[in-house]
Amino acid sequence: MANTDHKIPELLAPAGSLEKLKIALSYGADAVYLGGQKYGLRAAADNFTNDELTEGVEFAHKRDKQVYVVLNSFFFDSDFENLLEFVSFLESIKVDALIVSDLGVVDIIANNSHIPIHLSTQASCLNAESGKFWKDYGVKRLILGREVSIKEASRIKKATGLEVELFIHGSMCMSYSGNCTISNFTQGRDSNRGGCSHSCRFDYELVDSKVNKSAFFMSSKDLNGLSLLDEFVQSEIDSIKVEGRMKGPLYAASISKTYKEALTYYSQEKKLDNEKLRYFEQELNKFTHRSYFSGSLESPAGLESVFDERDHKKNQTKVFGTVIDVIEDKFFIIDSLTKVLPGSIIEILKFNEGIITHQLNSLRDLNDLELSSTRPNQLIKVPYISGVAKNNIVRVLG
Amino acid sequence: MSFSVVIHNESDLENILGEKISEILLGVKELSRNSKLDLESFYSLSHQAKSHDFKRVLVFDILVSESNFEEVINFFHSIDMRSYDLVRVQDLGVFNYLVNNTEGRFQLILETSFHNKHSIVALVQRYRNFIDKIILSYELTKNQIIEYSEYLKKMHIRSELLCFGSILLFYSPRKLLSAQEVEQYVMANSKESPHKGYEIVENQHGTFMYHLKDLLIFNELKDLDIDKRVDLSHRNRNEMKKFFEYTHTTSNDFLNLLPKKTTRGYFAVNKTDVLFPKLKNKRISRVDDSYIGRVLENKKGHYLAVKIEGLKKIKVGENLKFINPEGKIINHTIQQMFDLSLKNINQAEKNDIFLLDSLKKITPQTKVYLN
Repeated sequence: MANTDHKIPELLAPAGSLEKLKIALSYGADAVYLGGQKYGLRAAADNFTNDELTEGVEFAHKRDKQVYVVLNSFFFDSDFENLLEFVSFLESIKVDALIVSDLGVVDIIANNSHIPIHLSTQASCLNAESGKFWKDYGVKRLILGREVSIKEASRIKKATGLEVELFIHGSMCMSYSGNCTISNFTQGRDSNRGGCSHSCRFDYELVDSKVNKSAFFMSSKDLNGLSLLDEFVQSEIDSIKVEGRMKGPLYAASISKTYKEALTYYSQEKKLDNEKLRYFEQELNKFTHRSYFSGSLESPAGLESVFDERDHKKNQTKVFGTVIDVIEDKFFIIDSLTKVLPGSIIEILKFNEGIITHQLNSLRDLNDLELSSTRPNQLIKVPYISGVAKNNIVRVLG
Repeated sequence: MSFSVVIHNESDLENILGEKISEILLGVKELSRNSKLDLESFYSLSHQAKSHDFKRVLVFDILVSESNFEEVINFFHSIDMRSYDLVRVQDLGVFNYLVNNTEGRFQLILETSFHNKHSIVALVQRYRNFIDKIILSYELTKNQIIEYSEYLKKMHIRSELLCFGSILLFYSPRKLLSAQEVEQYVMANSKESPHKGYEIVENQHGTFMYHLKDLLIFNELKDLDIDKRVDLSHRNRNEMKKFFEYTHTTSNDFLNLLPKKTTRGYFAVNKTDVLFPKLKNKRISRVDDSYIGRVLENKKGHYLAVKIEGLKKIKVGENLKFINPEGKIINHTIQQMFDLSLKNINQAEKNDIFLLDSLKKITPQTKVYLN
């Protein structure tokens, strides 16, 4: 039996947009991380305008949840222009923490605001001495390198007295974070300022190799640490983080819902039995991903961690859309994102535990005209089903 | 003009005799990414370097996990301190440990970040007395290099930049070629871009990938008061000799002899952020001022559905401006609006969805503003 005194870690989910922030928090994430228009590592993401940031923080705080803003690119001198103004704005809307990797940025924020600083994984903090270095500059939480095991994280936490955060799920950099410049030198896009072109996922021909290795030799499998939840809790990891700001609403919903339900179950039962674990693992297989592995959470990742192919795992479901309104006892409206045929079986992900499974006998538009199929960006009217709520994510089987 | 030179064996030493060398960089395989030397060979080479009066820098440039930290540090302490004059590190944890637990000043590799003066100043303010030299990033431009090295000089800290050698693109602790203990070396050709001939090295510290071209900025650095590093690890040693011959001539023949093409990297300019605005369609990006929402669906001849996402309320009679993903602007005055039950309404508020009669040239994701 697990020690029952340990705190359940915070579930930290990605929010690539305001819509995904609301989805992640509604489905159980305790906190989200997101980027403003500048300074983050996802130049191609929607990212948040200042109005969206304000709304996002209000939405989160009304639900006693947290919002962390990433300022984790490696700054060049010109990038500092307007930084203080932006930090001051973030302080005014009561953002809960800033995620930073650059020492200059850490120093400026620590000396000009009261917002807690979380050291980004981009800084590749791998050991307690490194944690102490950053602590001296005012960092409150270490988002440790993806190479750090749960046991190591626990030791680092004890040795530094800082909160520690570990990735538990999502895509992985193969390189030490912040130590990859393939994109910079070959594509002209600075990966450490948000322009990563994912050259590590490319197909390579290895010449003169006696070992005859796969051509996708730098592409990593995806992290999945669900089965290690007990170890995360026992090791008193403060926050478990999910990667994926660029991923869609189904991912945001599924990942938040599954991990939250797993954490809730664990906190009640003090364990994840095999049957429950199997159920949660199945849920994590219902959206697109590469082959899973447990990263370096238990022991250092090696050759087995290479994702030796191009295609992602075929997903068992695909996103149908979002419930955008519910007219009680009459109907609800789905904003469709894909082609669906009459007779399809859909699953509506409820915010609390459970999933509603339903067969779409017919498809109708807002004028009640029957449709032969749906297409992306079409509003579909569905007869009311008890339990459906606005902003529920709907997926379709097969 | 002074060079710091990475050496791996006796012939490297011989190649630099008589040159203006400020220090030589020596590694032992347990602590260095590139060195193949065991401790005994390291001592031997160090001894020879000492006999030529070279200042010797022990390269301790691996990143160290928490589990290995004690073992690695113990190994470091086991090295006879007389075999080196200075220590060069990259891991900030190793640096912090050395500052707090040993004596002396250290060389710190800041090649993968610290691309701004704020970060260098923040570091120097706290650790000035412990830093002998800072190895600046080759992602910096000439003006930055001059500005930072001048600042460091005022702080009595030397600076250094890679002048000739391999550009490291990728450092992973994972072994990606084999699970073997012996070093692996292959060339990788991208099948998805014209880039052919990346050097890939796998050793006990993981896997390293190097640029197709070598960095060569000798002529550009000639007049700068900064140490110039020559690092030809994993390369034909004759190049070192030829390089130093080249430094004494005005001829460019040397360039034709090189097995790899060369690049000046970002010395002249670093524009690796200029493509960012093109990574997304600005027209479908929201501009906060007067933002109302976005179009969900435009059903020809039937309705146009708008979701209110901005902070505005909208009423019949108001003028709307639609900007579609192609950038076309369509103006429209609201004559009538409906809710999702198709009932007439006079106004709609944040998070509501309202319907208008369908309009031409408007597609989903079109942004809607108050005109």
